[in-house]
Amino acid sequence: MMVEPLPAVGQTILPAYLRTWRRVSRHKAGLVGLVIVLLIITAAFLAGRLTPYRPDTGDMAENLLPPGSPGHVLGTDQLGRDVLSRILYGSRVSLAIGVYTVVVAGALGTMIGLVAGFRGGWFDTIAMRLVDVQLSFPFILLALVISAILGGGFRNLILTLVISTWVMYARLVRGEVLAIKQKEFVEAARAGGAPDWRIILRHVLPNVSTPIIIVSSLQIAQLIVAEAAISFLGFGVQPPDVSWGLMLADGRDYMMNAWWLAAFPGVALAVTALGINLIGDWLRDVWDPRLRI
Amino acid sequence: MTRYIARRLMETIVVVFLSLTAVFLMLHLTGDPVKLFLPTDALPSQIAEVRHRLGFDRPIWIQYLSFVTKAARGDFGESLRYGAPALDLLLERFPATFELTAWAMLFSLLTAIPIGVISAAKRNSFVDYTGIMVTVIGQAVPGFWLGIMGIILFSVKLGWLPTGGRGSWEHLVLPTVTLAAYTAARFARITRSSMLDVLSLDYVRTARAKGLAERYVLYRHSLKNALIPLLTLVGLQLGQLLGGAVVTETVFSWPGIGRLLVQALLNRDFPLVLAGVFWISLVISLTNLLVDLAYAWVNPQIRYG
Repeated sequence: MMVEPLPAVGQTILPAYLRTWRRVSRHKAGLVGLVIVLLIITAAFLAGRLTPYRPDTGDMAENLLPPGSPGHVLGTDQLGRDVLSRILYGSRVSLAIGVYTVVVAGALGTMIGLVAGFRGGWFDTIAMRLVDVQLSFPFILLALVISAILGGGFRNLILTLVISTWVMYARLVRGEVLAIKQKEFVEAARAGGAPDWRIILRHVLPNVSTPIIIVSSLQIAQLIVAEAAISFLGFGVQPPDVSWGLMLADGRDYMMNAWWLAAFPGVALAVTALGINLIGDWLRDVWDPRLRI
Repeated sequence: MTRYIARRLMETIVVVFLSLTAVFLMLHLTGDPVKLFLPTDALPSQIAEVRHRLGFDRPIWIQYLSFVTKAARGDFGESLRYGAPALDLLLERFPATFELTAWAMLFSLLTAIPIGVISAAKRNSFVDYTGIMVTVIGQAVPGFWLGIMGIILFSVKLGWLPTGGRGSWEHLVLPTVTLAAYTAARFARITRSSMLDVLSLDYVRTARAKGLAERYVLYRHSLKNALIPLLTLVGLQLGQLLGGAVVTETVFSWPGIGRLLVQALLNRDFPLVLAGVFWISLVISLTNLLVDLAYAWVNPQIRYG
């Protein structure tokens, strides 16, 4: 066990939170990511106040206006709808889908991974075979098949992405649990007569929470991009709801004469994914450098 | 080794079978494909006649048994949309997808390895930070958006490249770069990380202490060992590329399996969807096996029993 060196004479011992802040704030890229994500969350919440236009209504007399047109900073689309409004309202959909999916898939996958890893036996065998089969299939293709079966729309899309994503958590958590259940503190708890469910919840789960949080933060970005791809292909969010993917689909149809319809939603998507990835990398570097790539 | 290969082939069969079963059940539990192909004012008798002709009026377990016995012979039925054998339609399109995926993988490796090696060699320099920034951005930017922007810039504005379709090498450029972007960024990060690990080993220090030129140390002594983790990732990324090809082929109207599958899903063309699931599961499983065998060949410490 490593013993922290004694402070030098005259050296001040900083409180733990300040030591943590110093370690965390050295990661400049992570701070950039945090600023980006906070700006996007703020824009999503304040969409109605930041723009006077609704995302689903437009004026056909003002269709396909280029960026910089009076009253429309980022231009309008083929139905005269303000592009900036649709981007701001679309951010709500993207963030909501990313967060909801991660929470539900994370909870489901974690539960299955905890039981499979701790109890083993037939449950572990069946669960992991299912995980292997699902992981052998490309994520986006699986999501498209499920989405085509369930149908489009916000709720079905979340369900689609949850079904496609839970396996990653199950496999990650199971792997961590297999290592943790050999540790002395788990044996001690077992020897003390604690039932399995208590050992799992009180001793195992807190020790797997860090990798779950790290993976979840990176997953949100992937899910936001996946949602855009699925909606772009026509399977996800449906009109009149607004989504960056739907905007990109429209942009593709008007590439020849309205480049801004594809450019700006894509920039929003890329910047959002970048910000979330930077935060995920930051958390990983601070909490678990083993997961560093 | 023979036993290992035999075991993996058995696992491949199980994986493909389970994938097909899952998709078959999901497809049949929702929706009615027959109504999609008939006009909205079709008479009930017409709907019943088509349903009977296509076998959708039988109990689902009979449909499943019939499907499994035919699938074992490579018969997935005829496409509801095109009226041709589903597997044949896929096999016709496979060369186009293979071409795109192969070029994307090659492009990824050819760009990622130099970036990763140079970044690692010049760690914490401006070059390294630039490389890291490029890879981080590359992993964040959605590939299909990159493709659309590429079309707008290089096809619409500059007129250098075609907007889509398949033909000459010019048709390959944008789809390849689009498909390869994420993979190249990921490979570059792995290569950098792996090179840094290898460069810290004792034998590399010895090579430097002997006075060898840095390029010998990098390319002759370090790179081969640093590429072993990358080889593992190549197999895993193949699935990603095949999935990405679905979207890329749609953006560029590339006549591959991905685009065909998207159309099949939109049209609820069951035979074509099932044939597609079969083919993709099979290709990915067999490719992963080949990559694992190549991994054992490259790294003599690996033994499969």
